[in-house]
Amino acid sequence: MVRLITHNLLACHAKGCTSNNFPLQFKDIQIELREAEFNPDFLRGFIPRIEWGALTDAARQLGDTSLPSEPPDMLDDDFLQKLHHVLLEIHVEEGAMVCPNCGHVYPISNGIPNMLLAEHEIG
Amino acid sequence: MGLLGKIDMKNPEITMICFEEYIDKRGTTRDKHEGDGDFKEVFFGRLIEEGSARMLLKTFDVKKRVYYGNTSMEAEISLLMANQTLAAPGKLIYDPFVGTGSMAYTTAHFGAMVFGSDIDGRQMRGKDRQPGIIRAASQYGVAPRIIDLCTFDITRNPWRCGDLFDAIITDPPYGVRAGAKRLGRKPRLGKTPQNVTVRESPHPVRDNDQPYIPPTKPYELSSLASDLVLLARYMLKPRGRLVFFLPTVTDEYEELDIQAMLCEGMEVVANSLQNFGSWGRRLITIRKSTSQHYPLPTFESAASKSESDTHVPAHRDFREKYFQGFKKLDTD
Ligand SMILES: C[S@@+](CC[C@H](N)C(=O)[O-])C[C@H]1O[C@@H](n2cnc3c(N)ncnc32)[C@H](O)[C@@H]1O
Ligand SMILES: [Zn+2]
Repeated sequence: MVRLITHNLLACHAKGCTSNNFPLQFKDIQIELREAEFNPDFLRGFIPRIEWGALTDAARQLGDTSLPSEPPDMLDDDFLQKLHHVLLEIHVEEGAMVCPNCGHVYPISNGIPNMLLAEHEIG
Repeated sequence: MGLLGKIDMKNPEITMICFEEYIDKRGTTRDKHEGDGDFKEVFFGRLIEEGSARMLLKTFDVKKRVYYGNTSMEAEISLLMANQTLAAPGKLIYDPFVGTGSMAYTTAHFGAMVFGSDIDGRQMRGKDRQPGIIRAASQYGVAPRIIDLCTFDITRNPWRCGDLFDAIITDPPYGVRAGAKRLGRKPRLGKTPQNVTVRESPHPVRDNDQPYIPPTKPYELSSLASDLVLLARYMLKPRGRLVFFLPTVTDEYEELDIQAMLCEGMEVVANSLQNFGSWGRRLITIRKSTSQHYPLPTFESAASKSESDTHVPAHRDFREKYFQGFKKLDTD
């Protein structure tokens, strides 16, 4: 859990933190690899939603360099398998995600990120 | 029909079955027994095969689940809800009040991938190291389809963008079992007495996993419902569905209660009642009928709207009505 698909969809939402608040930076993390079902149609449909740079950076940080720096025009099976692995099979189990802008720390424990804000951080 | 064998109810060689055909009442609401016996035609024949859905009631029986809580939804209803979402492989479905995950399992069973979030991480985790929802999902063989579980207040959510989900399936809090709450200061005592309610805290023990639990304030049901529709319009893909339960007061309910909580681009597909007597809950299915992009709701609009708004739905202040036994509230 905290798969990279999720990491790609979460931004810092502390009060006033509206720019440079994505992607969150992983810190002191432990990862696990777990198999997921491959569904090429889902992946094709999901590509337009991905912030590509954030995804490839995060993957690289977790030791996976299989993705090209731009999504290819031809979405062949080989590419989709790699994307599948990066989006859905790498799980960050422990550690934290830190906002690059305001430094807010969102801790991850047993695979569940705590995205709650403190009272003084709500807008 | 020439059935000459003797009748044996315990070990029959063949089973005969009877079907009644009714006029399709889809899209309208009716009481459980309304129109019973008023069929168009009856069919009588030999049972060849039973459907595959019946046995799912046993599979998803809450009591046989390795993880559940006092907010868990019955198996049958969780299955019906999953069905309303049109859950299928390749779809992405979200429960923003996921609790112990009852509907995540049934939706995942039909092949969908599921996201869950809840303001209270303890609901999703339980006591063991491995989160309770993951343990139960493993029991059903669907753990890989639980994409992620996150702890946050839906009114202060970290989603980067909308147009993500094929469906939102949820049982929102209405303050009877799990308190409806949102981040923020509680209203001060004495200032607005009608808002001051004693929130039950079903989990007195704090989990070490949760270093800081921010203060919360009550969330009134009709604002919550309108907010949920706005949120769904933002988060759903075009033609995506919002499937949720709305508890309401049986005698005061009007069809307009549902119409009044809609916003542009959202339309009702189905509305059915589970009647408990003085109150009941309605399973509402709403579809996003637009492909236009809308902004993330502010979660303030409903609150301000409710004051100028002329229509007061029966589910307004549901919690208070519930604890007063649905006697008419003193409105001045
Ligand atoms: C009726 S329960 C849902 C139960 C769930 N269907 C299950 O199977 O356990 C409502 C849930 O909403 C959560 N909740 C209440 N207010 C919330 C908020 N503002 N944001 C997110 N979750 C909230 C509660 O912690 C509770 O788990
Ligand atoms: Zn920030």
